[in-house]
Amino acid sequence: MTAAPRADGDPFAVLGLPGTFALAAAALRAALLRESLLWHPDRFPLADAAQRRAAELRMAEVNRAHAALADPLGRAEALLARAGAPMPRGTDHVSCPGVLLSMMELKEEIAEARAAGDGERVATAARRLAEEERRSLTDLAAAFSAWESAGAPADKTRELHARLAEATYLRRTSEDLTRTAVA
Amino acid sequence: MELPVLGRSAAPILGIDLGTTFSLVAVHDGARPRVLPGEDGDPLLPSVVSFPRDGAPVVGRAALERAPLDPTRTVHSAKRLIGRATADLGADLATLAYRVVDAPDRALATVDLGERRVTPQEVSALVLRECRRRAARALALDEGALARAVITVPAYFDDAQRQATREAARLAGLEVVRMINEPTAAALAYGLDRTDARRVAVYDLGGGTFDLSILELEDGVYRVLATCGDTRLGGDDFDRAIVERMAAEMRARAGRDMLADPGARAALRMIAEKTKRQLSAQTEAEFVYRDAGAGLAWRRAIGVVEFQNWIAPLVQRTLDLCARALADAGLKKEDLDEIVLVGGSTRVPLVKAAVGAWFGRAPHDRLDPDQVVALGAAVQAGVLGGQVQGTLLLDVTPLSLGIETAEGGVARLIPRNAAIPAVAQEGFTTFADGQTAVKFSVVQGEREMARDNRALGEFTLRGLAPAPAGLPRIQVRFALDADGVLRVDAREERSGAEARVTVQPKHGLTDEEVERMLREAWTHAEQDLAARRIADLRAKLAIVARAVEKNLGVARKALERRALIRLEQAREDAEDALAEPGGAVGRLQGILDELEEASHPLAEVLMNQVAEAAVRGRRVEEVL
Repeated sequence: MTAAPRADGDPFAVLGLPGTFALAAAALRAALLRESLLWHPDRFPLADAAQRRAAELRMAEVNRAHAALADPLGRAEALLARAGAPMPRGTDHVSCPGVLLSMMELKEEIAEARAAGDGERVATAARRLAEEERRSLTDLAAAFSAWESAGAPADKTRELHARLAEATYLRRTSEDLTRTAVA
Repeated sequence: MELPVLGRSAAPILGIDLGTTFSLVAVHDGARPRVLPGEDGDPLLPSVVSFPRDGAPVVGRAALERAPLDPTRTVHSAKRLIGRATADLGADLATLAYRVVDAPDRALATVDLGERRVTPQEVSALVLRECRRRAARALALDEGALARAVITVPAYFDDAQRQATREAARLAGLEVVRMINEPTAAALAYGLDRTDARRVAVYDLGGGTFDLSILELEDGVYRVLATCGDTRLGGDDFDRAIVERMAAEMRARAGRDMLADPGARAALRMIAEKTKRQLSAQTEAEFVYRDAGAGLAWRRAIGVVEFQNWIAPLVQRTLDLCARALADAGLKKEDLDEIVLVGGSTRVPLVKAAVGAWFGRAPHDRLDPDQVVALGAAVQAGVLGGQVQGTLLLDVTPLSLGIETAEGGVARLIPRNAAIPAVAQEGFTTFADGQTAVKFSVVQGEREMARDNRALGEFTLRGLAPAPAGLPRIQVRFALDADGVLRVDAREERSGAEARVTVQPKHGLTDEEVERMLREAWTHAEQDLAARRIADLRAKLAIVARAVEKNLGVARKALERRALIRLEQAREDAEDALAEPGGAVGRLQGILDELEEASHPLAEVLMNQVAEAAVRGRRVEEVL
């Protein structure tokens, strides 16, 4: 087996897919199946250890790329990285004070409702949070669509960063709440 | 790009379902997978090993029969111990008839036989060896030719349990070409006759473990979307529900604590298992326990409704796990096209009904729940051996993998349900000035705090150049192979110091131990072989002696006196040898040879009588 073309970690390139936010689920699944049939180590049962190892690494890369692109936030990150404007790591703070405030309010509301044992109130607040999360994803999709139509200019990514930070923050908040609810 | 040509390998790769209560071995013949029966014709080999105080270990049905006679030396359900410590076993310990203790130097449950301890790995190795022996006999091949196997494990087995299963295979002299998850194997067998794309949930409730896997089947690719389970939930627990109640009632009414006595525990367990099976077919069963020595006779009718009440909480636990797997797959119940039932415990009507009610559709129960996993393993063996084309399994890891952080939390590197093989890396640093070594603890599980998860092992990266706290950049890399087994390495980037690290097994065996056990197993193998030859010789001797006895009467007068004396002497020697147990191979062989030799004149006389009879028009049967 000759060395696989290095894709430099860009999940779109690893899966041979066009770099767009509006990636169809069917296209992503088809790409995963195609690459898996090419690279899964089980396709090389009689190859020597080194070749199987290479296949295994490449397959791990395919799996990573698929997991990234299956998630809208992962797609957003990958597109920004391609454009040369990656999200700085560990900076998921939200710059929009309005969102931050309404989230803090929502968290307090949920904590209070839980303390009061009011399941109805907890559920209402959780629904609001889920609604916010959905809204942030719609906004993110719209922002990317506009940006891609404009030719994906590398110097016009400020809004994308802000939208992605917001969506990431909302997801984390809702994950945290689910976890504390379970615990 | 060049792809190596897929070829065929000569000797078949075995597909082995190493189960908690039963094990099976299957092969793919190029057209279909098939399960290979044992000498008794039964494809199910009880996963039981009995260790008589003197003599070689006994495996399978014979070991199962020894359980009530020799409860403390008869090991069943070793799969529930493998890769675990006694602290992990909880309620299991109370009803096991044999004694389980941790190895002195590590958190590894072993069976205490008194004079020595055996690890669950060794027990499973003996079961695997018997599978291999069975296959060799059924295929008329040399055992040496069958050195490779696909072995199934519960999807929810963690890394320690997988490593330990691998060790068992190594002890059995088998190379594990792939370990696959049981529900995935079942899906492979299920999908054999289907070409339409569909989403399937495999509900696998076996003797000791429960798994639920959700798969997408498309063009020969079997992709697992999510899996969830409990490695300590199965039919054994149904049995235990009966045992615990019966023991409590017997304590209250007869004033005897049955659970205090290993023999009684083993007997109760077997009766409970029988009662459970009866309740799958009828509405009431009798739980009968007799101990003539103690003057105890216990009869108790158990109604199916009562039994269902006892096991309902266990069944509910499986349904809660189904909900979690669905959520992880991002699906709703309606998105599924079929629910496939696998594992012997799905024969329990309550299980079938509860699963049907929960998913809102009648489950697919037309597969043989005992055989389907082994058949799937054989399909995968066929894929890896080159006999099966166009089938590919894409599986996931059941549990998240991470590193314990300085604060006792978990830095998660690979999330649960990530597709395997997988690689991930994460940066770490020092927390003290001038620190030259960093200790890492690898954990597996979903809990927030490291201590609540399973500690797989730890390693220390040494030789860091002294630097202020927070400056060194250590990259820890996890690589999860297609068997779901983890390799870890760590590297300090700034100083370029690199260290390969092996995680010290917390629950497994070291290489040296495996080597030692392999040597011992070899010695045992010779003993086993001798025992087998003795049994064969005794059987043959008995056949010849019986034939001589039967025919001597009619032919006695026709025999020459010297020949008659020799034959009677040889027959007496044979009877004497058969009257006492065992015997040396050489001596038995000698007696058999002499008896065969001495019976030649008898055979000639008989032949003549047959010939005369034929002339006189009598049938041969009338003469012999």
